[in-house]
Amino acid sequence: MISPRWRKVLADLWGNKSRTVLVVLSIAVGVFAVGMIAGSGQVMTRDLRAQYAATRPSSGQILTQDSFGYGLVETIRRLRPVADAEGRRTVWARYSAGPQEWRSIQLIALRDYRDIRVNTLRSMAGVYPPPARQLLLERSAVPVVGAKVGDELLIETADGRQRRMRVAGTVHDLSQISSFFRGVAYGYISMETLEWLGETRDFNQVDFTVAERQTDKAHVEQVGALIRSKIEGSGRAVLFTFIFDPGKHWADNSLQAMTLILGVLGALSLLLSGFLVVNTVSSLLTQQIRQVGIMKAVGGRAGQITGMYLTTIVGFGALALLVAVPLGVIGARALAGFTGNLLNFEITGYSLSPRVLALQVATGLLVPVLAALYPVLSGVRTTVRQAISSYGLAEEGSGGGRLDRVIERVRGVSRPVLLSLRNTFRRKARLTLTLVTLTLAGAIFIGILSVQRSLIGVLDGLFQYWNYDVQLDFSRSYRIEQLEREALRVPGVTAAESWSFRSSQRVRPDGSESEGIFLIALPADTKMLQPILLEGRWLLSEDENAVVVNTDLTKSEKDVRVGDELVLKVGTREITWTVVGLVQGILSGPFAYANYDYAARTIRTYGRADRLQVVTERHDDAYVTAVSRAIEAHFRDLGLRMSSNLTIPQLRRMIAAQFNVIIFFLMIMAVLLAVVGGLGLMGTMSINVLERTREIGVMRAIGASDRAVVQIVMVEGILIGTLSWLIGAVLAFPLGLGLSNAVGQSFLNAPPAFKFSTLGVIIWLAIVTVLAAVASFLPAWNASRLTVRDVLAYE
Amino acid sequence: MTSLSRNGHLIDIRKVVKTYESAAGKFTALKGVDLRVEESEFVAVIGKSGSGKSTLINMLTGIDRPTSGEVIVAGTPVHALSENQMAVWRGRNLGIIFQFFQLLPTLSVIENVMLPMDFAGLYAPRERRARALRLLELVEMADQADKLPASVSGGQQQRAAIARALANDPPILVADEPTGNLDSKTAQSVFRLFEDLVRHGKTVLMVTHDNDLARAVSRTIVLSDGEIIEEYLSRVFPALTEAQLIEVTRELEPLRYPPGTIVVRRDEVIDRFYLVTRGEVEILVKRDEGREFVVTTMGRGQFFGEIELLSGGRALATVRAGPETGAELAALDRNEFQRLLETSDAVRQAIEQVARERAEEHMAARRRATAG
Repeated sequence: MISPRWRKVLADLWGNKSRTVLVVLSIAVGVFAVGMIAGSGQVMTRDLRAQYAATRPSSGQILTQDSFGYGLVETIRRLRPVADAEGRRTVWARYSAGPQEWRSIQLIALRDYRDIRVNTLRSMAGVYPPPARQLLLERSAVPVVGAKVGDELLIETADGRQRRMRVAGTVHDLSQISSFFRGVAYGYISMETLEWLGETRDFNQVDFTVAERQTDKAHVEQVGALIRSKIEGSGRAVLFTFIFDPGKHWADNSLQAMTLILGVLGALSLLLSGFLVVNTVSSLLTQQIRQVGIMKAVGGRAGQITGMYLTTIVGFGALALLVAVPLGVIGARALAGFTGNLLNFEITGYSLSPRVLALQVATGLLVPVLAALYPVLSGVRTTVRQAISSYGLAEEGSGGGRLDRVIERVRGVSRPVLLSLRNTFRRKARLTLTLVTLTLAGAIFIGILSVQRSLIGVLDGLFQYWNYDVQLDFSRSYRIEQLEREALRVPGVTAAESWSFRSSQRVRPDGSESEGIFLIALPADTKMLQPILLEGRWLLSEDENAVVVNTDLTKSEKDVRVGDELVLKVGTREITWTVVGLVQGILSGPFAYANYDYAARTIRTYGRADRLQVVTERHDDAYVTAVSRAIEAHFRDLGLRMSSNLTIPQLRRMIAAQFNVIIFFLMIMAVLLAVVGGLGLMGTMSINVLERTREIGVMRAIGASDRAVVQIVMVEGILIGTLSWLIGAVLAFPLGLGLSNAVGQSFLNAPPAFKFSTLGVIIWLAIVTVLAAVASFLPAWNASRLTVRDVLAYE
Repeated sequence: MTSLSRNGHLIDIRKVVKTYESAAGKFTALKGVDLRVEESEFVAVIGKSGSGKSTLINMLTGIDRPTSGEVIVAGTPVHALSENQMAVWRGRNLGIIFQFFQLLPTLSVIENVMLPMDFAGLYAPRERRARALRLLELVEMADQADKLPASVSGGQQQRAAIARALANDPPILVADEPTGNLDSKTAQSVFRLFEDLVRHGKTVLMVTHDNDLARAVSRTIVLSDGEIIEEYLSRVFPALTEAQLIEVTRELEPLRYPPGTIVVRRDEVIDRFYLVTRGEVEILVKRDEGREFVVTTMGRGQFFGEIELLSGGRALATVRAGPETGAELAALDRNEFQRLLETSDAVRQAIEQVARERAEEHMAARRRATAG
């Protein structure tokens, strides 16, 4: 037998089901978001780190220009600070993805697939190791290539020979950036197959792990320099050195950052759902003020009554948990699965962790109780006399505030609209909380679209920076004069310019060497590069040992300033340069630009180049692709060996796809926030209708049709929505800026130039109008269902 | 011109029963009520709490629906309308005035008056303000037009509510205890306003507890325990209790006579007591030369037949339905009449007193006729 006190609590929960459903759903959305993000974050971090550690990840990677044999790998292995090393050969090829369509594939050859020491592979399907003249696809490449085990691929090597290769199986290689992100497929082949493709049976890449101080990046850099000098000592040129964040998967930082950003948004949605609780509880207490008085009159202590109402709130929270916890598990599983797929690691299984459950329970119960505390305490504090003499629905009416006076002065609209307008501002505290919810949802939505615009701005900047349409890399240097002349012969090509590239390392004043830095020799008056100059000046044609560096370089080499001397080691030669300018780096890595005439001589490539940039007549995807194919065919006919052919529209699509993933995650949260906002508005409108039942009855009595009543309520809802839109649009600026900086910092290493999304403002107006219309329709419909008799008690 | 029901009544309530069902059981608030109201009548509905006054008014305004029976107001079968149709119909045909004024607190006085015009769309938007102002002038509230309801007195709010009720110029005003929340002086002024409106052709139905007000109107409907007491019966038999009045009302047989038809012929045996409920009857006395002439006419609330029933004789005069109006009568048969007299000495004495006076008047009239 339940005591009457708790029976009342149950009755309050059960009596007004739509109210309970609204509050429960609203809390549930927040708890769901928290559960989904915390749950998926936890499992993703756990699985990614465990799986990555299991692959014996390399500490660094050195790419060489000249190939080397197994003997050198063994030499490197024997170096004292080296724990292990693995030689690989990576060659660029292309596969046919349809008529007239070729896409890049990186073919990786290993000596012994049964004994991989660094960056191990895991067989996923089919056979392992790769049989002769067949290949294994990296599993993230499967959807990109669109081939399955058993299918044949037509492969074309750099020198133009075509080979049919069977996909014998799939492997998982966590060390590679997933094919989805890179837009490049990975295929694993044996040394025999490599030879069959026309390549030599040796290596051009070594991956190594260090024996000690694995987490000390400076130490790893030193070991890298040691290996490099070993390779160079053997007479081979080193192309590039990569030193990785010790023990960290390439996506680890981004994943943590994304989880944090999403977590903040999730917590925000929970906080906003608290506002609906405040509104609902305030209205409940207003309605029940007499009951409170009566309970006090019959001996109820304030503590007991507070306890009853807080129990009701805990009831809301408990019901919300019932909904949100299982949904959170599903959401976390889906989100982790999706992300795992995207970043190419496996989610080993998701079960609700006690920590996440505890977090959900704590937030699901605590947030509503905290939100309800003030309205409950102030309601319960009412004295018996006040409570019993008050008529429950004591009207606030229009107060004497400035806002009220302004609203009273509004003329020239019909009375029903006037009524909606003035009703909107009747309960200012409630309006404020509803507005905060909807406004934040809107500001975040517009903010996210602004982030997207800013990211696209980065892209635009990037393609303004790289002011050409096709970029062709060659396997070796060719004469500039020949490259440019032949390129210009291809119809559609309006300009061609070739640059010379060398990998270098900075030799720091203390003698240590940096990671790889690209030294680019280019004409000082180039039109194909439009850098954003931040400091100093751009190159002049009379410059000799002057370089312009980008911010990616100053980010890793923090002491480098304009005016400083910079020592770059190209091969074994150390060249001293003077830094004359600083330009914005855009997703490009550390670059140093030097005047061609001087630099090419210094690095001994004068008159020759290994990269060609081409400008085409038109710049649309189809046209550029067609012209790039024509250039390629022409060059192949001439016997020039190309290693890659990249069109800018293609690159743009690829990067945009990556940005869209970020936007997609942020949008999930925006949708959740919009749902919370909508529920909040619906709650507010329901409370308003409930409180104004009598007035609606009077309007019915003086001739208001169903439509008129629905309209009055809906116009109020839409007014609130529009108001929230106005404030949200303003608030979106700082919010979007903050979000854009956070995203930029996490994914691009630099905040992008912020671009406010006006389109976002317009889209959100449409969304919020529809949202407000939908959210207020149900309360409006309920209002129109009220009969006069229901609401006007005569006797 | 207001459209009327098929029988020519502005309001025609027929055999209306209203039963409420609740957990406590069934409760019948109206037990087969019949009521007809004509244009320009000022009708007070009185009765004790719970007698069914408000239920009756709610049937009329369409706020509530009868369990059975018909409610026809200005030609519209109100009971058959949907909630939405009802609201629209009400806005155009009926002004409702509430006890607690019920002005919308966020609209100014004049905006409250304009609101029904907005709903009904009967007046052009540009005319609405001017019309509202005229109505406020009518209720002497024009100078308060732009104030919010909360900043004017209760009496002023009720005046504004009356102006609002008149917004769409409805033929009928229904007021539920309109003066219940006002002091007596303010109540008087509101009442005079109603009288004015009636003079200008409006029909007003007003529920009231105030017997003084009720006496001042042209017609009073007394409700008791869900039934209408024949309105003139209580005047004829002031000594009867409400319960007895209801019992008598139930025994009354309604009769209709077209203009000029004979109700009772002189020297016929009379076995009924007649009460005029509508129209009038003429009492004709025969002169010596045999020609009959009208000695008097009787209107609503007057009765005849009591002399004959008391003395056991035949009709002293011929009674004929009015030549213009016809007559509607309520008749009580001899046995019921006798039983009524037996129920109370006071009733018997009162009736006998009237009969004696009437008999004397009659003799005097005959003498005059003979002399003439």
